[in-house]
Amino acid sequence: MTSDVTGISDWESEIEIPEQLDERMLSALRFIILREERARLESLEEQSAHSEETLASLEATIDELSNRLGDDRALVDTLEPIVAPVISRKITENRDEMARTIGPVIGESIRVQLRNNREDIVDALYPVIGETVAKSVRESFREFQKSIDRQLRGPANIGRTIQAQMKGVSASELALRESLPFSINHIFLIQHDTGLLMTQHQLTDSEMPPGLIGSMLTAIRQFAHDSFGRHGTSSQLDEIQFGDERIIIESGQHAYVAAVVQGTEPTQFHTALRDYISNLHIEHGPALRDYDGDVASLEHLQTGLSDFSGTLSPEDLTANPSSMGKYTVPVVSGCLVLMLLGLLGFMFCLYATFKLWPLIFADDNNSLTSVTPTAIVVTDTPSPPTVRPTNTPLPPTATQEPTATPITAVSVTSEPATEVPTVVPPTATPEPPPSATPEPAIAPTEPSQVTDAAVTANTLGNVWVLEEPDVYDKRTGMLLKDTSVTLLAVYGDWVQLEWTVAETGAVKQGWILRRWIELAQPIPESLITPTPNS
Amino acid sequence: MKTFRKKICLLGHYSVGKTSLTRRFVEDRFDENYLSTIGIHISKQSLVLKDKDMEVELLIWDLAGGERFADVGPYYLRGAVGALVVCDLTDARSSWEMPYHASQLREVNKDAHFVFVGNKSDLTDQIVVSLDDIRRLSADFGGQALLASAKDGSNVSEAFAMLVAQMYR
Ligand SMILES: Nc1nc2c(ncn2[C@@H]2O[C@H](COP(=O)(O)OP(=O)(O)OP(=O)(O)O)[C@@H](O)[C@H]2O)c(=O)[nH]1
Ligand SMILES: [Mg+2]
Repeated sequence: MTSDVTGISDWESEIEIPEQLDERMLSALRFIILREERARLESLEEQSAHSEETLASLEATIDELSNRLGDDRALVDTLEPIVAPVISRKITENRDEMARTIGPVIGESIRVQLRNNREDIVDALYPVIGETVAKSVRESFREFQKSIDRQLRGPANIGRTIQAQMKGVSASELALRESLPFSINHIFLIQHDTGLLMTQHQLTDSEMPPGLIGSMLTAIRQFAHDSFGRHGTSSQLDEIQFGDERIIIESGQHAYVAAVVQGTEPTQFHTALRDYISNLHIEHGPALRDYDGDVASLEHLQTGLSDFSGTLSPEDLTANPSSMGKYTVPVVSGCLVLMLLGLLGFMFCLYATFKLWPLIFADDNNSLTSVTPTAIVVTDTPSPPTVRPTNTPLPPTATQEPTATPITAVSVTSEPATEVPTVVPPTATPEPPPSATPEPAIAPTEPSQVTDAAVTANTLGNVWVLEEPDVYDKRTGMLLKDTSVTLLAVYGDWVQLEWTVAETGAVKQGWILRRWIELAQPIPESLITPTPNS
Repeated sequence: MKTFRKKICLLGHYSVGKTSLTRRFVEDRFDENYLSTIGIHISKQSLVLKDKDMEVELLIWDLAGGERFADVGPYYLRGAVGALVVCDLTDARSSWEMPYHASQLREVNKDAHFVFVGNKSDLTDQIVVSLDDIRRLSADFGGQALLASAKDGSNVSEAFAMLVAQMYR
């Protein structure tokens, strides 16, 4: 443009303009000649004006942009629609490269952010992570619930219900317990003092150096015992936890068993370990004690340990519980047997009652007293005289004496004991009720009265005779009321008697409580013995 | 081949090189840095006795030395069948304590086997204890003694082998 203008002035200076050309013509000429330039000039001016406008608008834009750059939020709003699709496309197209590129930056910035603004990060991530965790937990629980439902619906559920009842929990609680994860990784048998590994069984892949573990565990146990058990306590470290693994220990005298487990062990687990180690000591005690590191000497224990570990799964422990549960079968069968016995007893009573009916009602005078209630002494509690055999009429009831084995009058009519054939016949004469309370025959004796002559007595009621002066000892037979007996010895509250069985003439001996005899004379001191057999 | 497991100990004053001897024997390496053992360090190494056709798996209990041994307590010696009793050849005092350490194990196991080891034999210009000195100190405990260096490895496995050989003599 500058050159053009200069061109014009050059042109004016080179061309000689005739004087006669008037000013008007000149200006017309100028107009014609310079029309194009003028137009260009005008357009340039216009453009220049426009440029300024543009410049101003650009400046405004730059200002706005720099403002936005300063304002993080505005920047994020602006870039988000652009960057997000680009990144997502990039991630789809070349994931690895993207990770390689931005990984370190993101990692570092997260570290910095975590260091500087931990709470902000937590707040920012919470909605995402919280939801993810919640979802995962929800899913786990759903699975868990399904598994419990499956178990409860399964055919084994009746058994479980009974088992649960016996354990005092609900079937679902038991199922819940069975659903908890549990696994055994390793079992070691370790010698107490040396920490030498005796044998081991590995159930899962494990990094543990088995040779060392025994020594380490023993050292830790010794340390714990040394540190905490100094004051005479014999307690031992019985559990060690690291991460989600635990070592559960049960000790025997010479060796202990250590099980490395994960999860929650079933309740019977400790008992099973204890049973194992104590049985091992019973069966192999000397071998365990004398173990001198000769690996071959205990090789036979390896099979036992692996067999044992095979029985330690929660299912097995629940199916064959070794504590309460192991009594399930005996208890149930015991109950059935008792019920059966009860039924038999009831039927027998019915039968006996019908059998006795004619006896009772045939002859009122005789029948009422024909069956003398049996005085049964099976406790050494002195009974008051009123509890003596009385002529209480039937029905057959147990005596008022506290008895361990309530024996009814019925027993008299059947077989009191094999050795007493002199069963009271149903027609026996009525016994006069023993009106007088017999003196306890232990009155201190005058030395002068002591004689070597046989001391005789009469029984005050039907009484069981025992082999030894002990209420729990074997009964040898029954002595009927008013049997004449000879006193052989006195031991405490007990008297040893001898009598002759009328029918067979056999001479019998046995012990009864002293209060069941009425002595005709005081007991001579020579008969009093310090021990039953002296 | 029969396999035996045996517990042995390393006993001696602190800083004499018990851990270094064990490390050399088990890992065949040496560390100049002194990191005093607190409590017990246990490692395992097997030795093969060819003439007897047996393998002995040694469980080596390296116990804290010096006064700190009292903290660890003779409790940890139970079940040990032998010990390397170590002194620092450049420290006469550490050698005087050798019988004391050996007697600690003997109290727990009267049949225990011992090898007295004079360590740091590589520090030739600083040595103040001789093999004869150590032999004399070991007289009451079987009289087997040896000079070794955990640093250059000389006589280290020999010391352990000597102890094992004693057990199966
Ligand atoms: N030159 C030399 N230095 C040794 C040798 N053995 C051990 N040391 C050094 O002696 C220092 C102590 O060694 P440790 O093996 O830790 O001694 P320690 O007997 O186990 O000591 P405590 O655990 O404290 O009882 C370390 O700095 C070792 O590098 C050796 O044979 N030669
Ligand atoms: Mg050390």
